[in-house]
Amino acid sequence: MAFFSRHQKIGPPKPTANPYPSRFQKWRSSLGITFFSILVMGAALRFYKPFYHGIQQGLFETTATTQGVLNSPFQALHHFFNDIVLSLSLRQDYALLQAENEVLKEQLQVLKPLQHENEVLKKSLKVTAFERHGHLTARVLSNPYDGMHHFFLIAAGKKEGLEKDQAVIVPTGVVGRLETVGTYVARVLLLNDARSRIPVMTENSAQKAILAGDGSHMPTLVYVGDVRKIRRGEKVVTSGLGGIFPAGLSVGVVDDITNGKISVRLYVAFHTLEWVHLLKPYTAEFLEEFTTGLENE
Amino acid sequence: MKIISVCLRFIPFLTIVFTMFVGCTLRIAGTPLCPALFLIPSYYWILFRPDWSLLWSLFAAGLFYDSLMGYTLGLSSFLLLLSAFLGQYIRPLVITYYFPFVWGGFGLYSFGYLIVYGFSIEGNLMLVLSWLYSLMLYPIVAWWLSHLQNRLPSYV
Repeated sequence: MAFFSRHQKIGPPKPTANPYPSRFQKWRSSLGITFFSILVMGAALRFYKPFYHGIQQGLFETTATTQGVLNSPFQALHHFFNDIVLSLSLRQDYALLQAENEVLKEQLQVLKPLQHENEVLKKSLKVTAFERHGHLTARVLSNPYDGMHHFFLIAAGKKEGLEKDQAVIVPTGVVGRLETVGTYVARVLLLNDARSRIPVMTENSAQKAILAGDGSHMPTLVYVGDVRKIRRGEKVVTSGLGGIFPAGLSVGVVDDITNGKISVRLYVAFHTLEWVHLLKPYTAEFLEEFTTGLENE
Repeated sequence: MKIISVCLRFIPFLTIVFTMFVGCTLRIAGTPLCPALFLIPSYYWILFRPDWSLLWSLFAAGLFYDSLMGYTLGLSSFLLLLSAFLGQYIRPLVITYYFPFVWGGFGLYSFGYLIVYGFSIEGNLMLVLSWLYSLMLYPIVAWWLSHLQNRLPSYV
């Protein structure tokens, strides 16, 4: 039988993990050293500004796009259920809208002569007619929130010609401004974020102020001209100062005045937004003219 | 086969990033679940598979979180790396057969993490609420992670 069995040559033993690692191997696998080297690299990234900004921008684009893609199935599901709820109340909404439409038609009849009168008066007073703002519409990708910052991501970026600090609005009022702009995505800083500051004025008392977000759902008015003149329920609109927001956009109403602290209830419910409009920025000539006008004033 | 076993090492990173990206849009009664929610997979992998939870993956996950939320890059990475560093010493003390003990360990870990995090970015009450929610969600997420940890290698 031994004649038929093939002779098998014993090969070298298979390599296994070294039970006695050298000092270098120990050092290489040391957690502390790895930790320290990552920290050193992180510090270098942090303090060499151009490199840091490049990394920050790249990371923002990657994370925002990935987050949008990961969230899309959940968002689609959310929209699906929203549509079902909406379709259930369709008949009721239709009746309401019809009634509202009738009222608006009547109001329009009254407004048409007024509009004409306004144009004639503007011409006779030689009021400068600035270029009207064009706008771009973008879809809201997602609204990440961790209790500190209020913002959301939109599916538009430099590719669509967006720039930092552009005004973001919806038909009901101002939403915020663009904080970071990537190639395909951008981050919108909402009005109630602690870092948000926009120049506003009250409609009736004409008091200029800054609307400062504080993280709550009711931002406050700071640097107010005369607090005593402002009344509760007064409308707050953008003042047009600063050159980001055009004048007269609705922001909210004065909700409460306590010990000089004026809280504003915003018109826009941020959590329900699906689409937003981005106003095109002012041209350089306009801004120059505007600044000169302000200086003269 | 070697490729698959290498791919398995990416599971901690993928679960942390997935929990982070999906969890950051979730809210319960207006209270966010992040940042405490993504600490569950971080804690789990540091504790049960430290050989899978590579330091570089934790570093990258921290960078992703900071850039998504618009913070200065590096804070979350630093805290996650610190967690991994301390994890190797705390691991023998916490890892037991008794789940409540592991759960309690997570409570302490996430509380400590959120305290340092809150001090660094001027956090508020929302952080405490998010911590409470993550404590409640820990058993479900840990169960899901344990399935990933035990079942996936067996399929391979």
